[in-house]
Amino acid sequence: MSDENIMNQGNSEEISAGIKIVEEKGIGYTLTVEREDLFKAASALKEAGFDLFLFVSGIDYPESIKLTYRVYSSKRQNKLAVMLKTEVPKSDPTVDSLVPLWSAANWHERETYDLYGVIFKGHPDLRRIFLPQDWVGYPLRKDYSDDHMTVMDDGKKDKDKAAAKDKPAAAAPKESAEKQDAPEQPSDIADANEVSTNGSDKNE
Amino acid sequence: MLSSTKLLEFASNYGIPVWALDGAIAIVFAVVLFAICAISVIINVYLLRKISADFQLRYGPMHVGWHGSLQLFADAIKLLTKEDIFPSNADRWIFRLAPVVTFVPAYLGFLVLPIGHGIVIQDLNVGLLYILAIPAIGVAGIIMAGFGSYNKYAIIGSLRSAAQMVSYEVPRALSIIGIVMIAGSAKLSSIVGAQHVWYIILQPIAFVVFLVSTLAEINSTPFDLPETESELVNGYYTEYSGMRFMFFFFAEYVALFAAATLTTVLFLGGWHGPGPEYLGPIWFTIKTFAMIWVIMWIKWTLPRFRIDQVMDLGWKVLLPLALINVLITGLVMMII
Amino acid sequence: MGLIKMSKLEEMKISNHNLSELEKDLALNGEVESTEDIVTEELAIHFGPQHPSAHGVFHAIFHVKGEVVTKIEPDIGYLHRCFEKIAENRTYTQFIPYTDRMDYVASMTNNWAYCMAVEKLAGIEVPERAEHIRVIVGELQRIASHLVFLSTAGSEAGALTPFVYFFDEREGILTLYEKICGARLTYNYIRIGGVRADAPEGWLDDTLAFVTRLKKRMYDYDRLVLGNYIFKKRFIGVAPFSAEQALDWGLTGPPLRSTGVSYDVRRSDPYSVYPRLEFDVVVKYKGDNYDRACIRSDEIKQSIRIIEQAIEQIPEGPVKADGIAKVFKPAAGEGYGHVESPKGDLGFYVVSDGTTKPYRVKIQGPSFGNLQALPAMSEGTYIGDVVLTLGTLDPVFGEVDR
Repeated sequence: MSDENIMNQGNSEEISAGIKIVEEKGIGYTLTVEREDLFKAASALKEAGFDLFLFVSGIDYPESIKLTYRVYSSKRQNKLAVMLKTEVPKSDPTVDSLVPLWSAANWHERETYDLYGVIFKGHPDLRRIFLPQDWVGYPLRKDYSDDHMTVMDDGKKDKDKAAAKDKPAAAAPKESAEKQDAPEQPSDIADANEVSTNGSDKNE
Repeated sequence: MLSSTKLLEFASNYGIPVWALDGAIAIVFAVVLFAICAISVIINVYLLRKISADFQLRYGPMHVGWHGSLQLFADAIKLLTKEDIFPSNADRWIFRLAPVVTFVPAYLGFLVLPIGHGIVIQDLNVGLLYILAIPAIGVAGIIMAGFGSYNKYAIIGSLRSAAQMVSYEVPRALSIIGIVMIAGSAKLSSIVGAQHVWYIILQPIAFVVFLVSTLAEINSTPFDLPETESELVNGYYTEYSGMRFMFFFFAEYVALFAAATLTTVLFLGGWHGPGPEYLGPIWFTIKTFAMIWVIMWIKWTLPRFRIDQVMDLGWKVLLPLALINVLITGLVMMII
Repeated sequence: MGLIKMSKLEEMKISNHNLSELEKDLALNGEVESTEDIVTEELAIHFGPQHPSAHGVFHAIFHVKGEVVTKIEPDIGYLHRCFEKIAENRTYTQFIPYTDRMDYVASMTNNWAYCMAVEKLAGIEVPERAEHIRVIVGELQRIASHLVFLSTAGSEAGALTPFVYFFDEREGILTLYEKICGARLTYNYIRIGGVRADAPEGWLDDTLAFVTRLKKRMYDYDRLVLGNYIFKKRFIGVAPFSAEQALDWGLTGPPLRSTGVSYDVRRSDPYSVYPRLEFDVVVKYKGDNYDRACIRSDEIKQSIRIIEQAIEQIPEGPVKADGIAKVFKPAAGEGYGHVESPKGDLGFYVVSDGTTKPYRVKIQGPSFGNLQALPAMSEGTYIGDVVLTLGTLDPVFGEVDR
């Protein structure tokens, strides 16, 4: 499973059967897997004692988005941390969610979804986390442009106009992403707004 | 009502009806009382700011007037000239009335307080009951404020306040029973008159219970839950601004002052002190301000309790203590 | 609740689920008041984004039943400035001031973590003296940040006076910073390959005098805040987290160490001159609010130890690596640098494509990871406790939202 062609290859260690982590210059131990194998590799890491999930980062390349996870082991003797790398094509930016393994992955995956548009299958609550729910596009992609900058209100008009006027980042994945989150509108937040008074503009 | 024989003679000589005389005297007293309250609040606020500044390594107000002594007037002008804001969904009449309902009872408590020997506006023979009962009406104003504001922080704050005041009213009243037993009267002037030995020495448990429940009554730390800034923004008066806010502010200090004076009357020997009798009011004032200082000291030192802990303390600790105090007092009185 | 109802209840030998049917039945007969008229529902309170103890711009919806919070829905992003995107349009050096604006209570460690990541990426060696100065300013920053924590923890619990005492002490640290780098809050002091300038004459002595004085005073402060009866009553046993939970929710820093997991980057992945310094990683075991608070106070004492040793050991020499231009092109590759910031494990993941600007900078903010555990930690506690629990997680929203 491990990639033998990593440059600057240093020490390596066999975590468990078939999973070999290699030391890479600058970032420490690394494990690179195909996206189909991600969940399996992550489970193996979890079983091997890597119990602390630190972050997931997307990196935007022209054809694909590389994902880098960092997990740390509090149990292993040498207090190891591993960078788990995978890659998803931009045409289909989906990957298994790691929330079942580490609850901590929840917000981190939402962040990556928000800024890169990577869809994490099996995530319990995949909504935008930093940006407003009606934001268009994924800002950390290199081809993102904010010409269509939405106005921050709940006017559907602006959103439609913006979507029609400009087709910015990777049309296909965006549509699929929107389909994905259409039923996942932040219904509970909206409910709360109706019920409550404090802090919501509605009642002012 | 208050008319002495001389005044009555004077009135009958000039054909003034008794009710008019009574009314005039009542108005004069009301104005005087209000003035005393206002002055006490002014002094109070200034002292509070300076004392808390001292506790906190600060100077406090320094710029308006001599050492910031006119700061309060500047604040008052600011508050009076502010826009009068109503939350859009507020129940306007309740919202408007609430500050008044909170303020007036706090101020009525002073009616029966004997400041010096024979210096009292109305020496009721149930003065003690009166002074416990009347300020407790203020809680209605707090609930009205919470209810009328149409604000969740306010309603939670007001409910907390109601729960707290009702719970602490009980140990507070019970703690005084010992004093009534010893003094043999519920008239405040008689209670002071009977204090050849201060009741803080005769009734130490009662004093502790009374002080703690008084802190809860006036919403001072560690019982400032109704207006916890860190949880409920400002509690029941979150939505108030300007003049109405000033009323709450005023009521709070009047309540503090009233609590300090009542403690002085009940436990610190009221006007008693060395020197001739006409120095009584001065001793009274000194003791009152000492009491305020103690309350401030507690306020600026301690964190606050949680709501369930407040209830626990009231019902499970203070109430039994107050009852035990009554029992002990009774036993001692029987033996002696 | 009359006798009629009681007898009927016995008659029907009710269980829980047919109680409501019974009540309906009785209500129809007009025998008892229907409890269905009394509407009791959960109240949804908006906590923030403007709230005195929201620690910045935190917005959450608290669902409360009476005083008990049954559900918390956090909603973040009000301070999102997309630093990660900005980083892609700045040179490596230009991005350092932006890191100041993340955890603005502890800017120095942000600078440090970022510079370390770039140094690892470009393979830059930092001179000894610079490493020592970094350790000193970094630990001073930890003290300053923890002092802010203690003061806000106190004021959230209602004790307003300690707040001022701790800020007074922090003032001493800010003055020291002002002397060494001219700024009091956003320092931009640690640079790639070293620090901007050597410590001015007498600065190290001033620092030593400051920590010596603070060491004495910490005793009083501990009694004033952490030793206070009411403070203990409010904090002990509230919102406890086990080690498993803490790891699962990805806590780092003091909240993780309070559960018994000894994860401190200074020891787990040693950097700078920490391997040569003697100090203990403070670990507590109950994981409740009180442990999370105490751990900070103890860490201040450890930081004082570190500073004393670092000042003792500091060598003479340059404070910046030679030959680093303002604009430079590291070879394509990746670098990950992380430090133990006062809030936890703060990491920067920098990817270079060989140009003057980073291709990608990922910021791993400990506040973000810690805040996420708030619902799991404090659902079922009182409103007042949620505020305290949020305080003991010590999030800074510049870092959460980035």
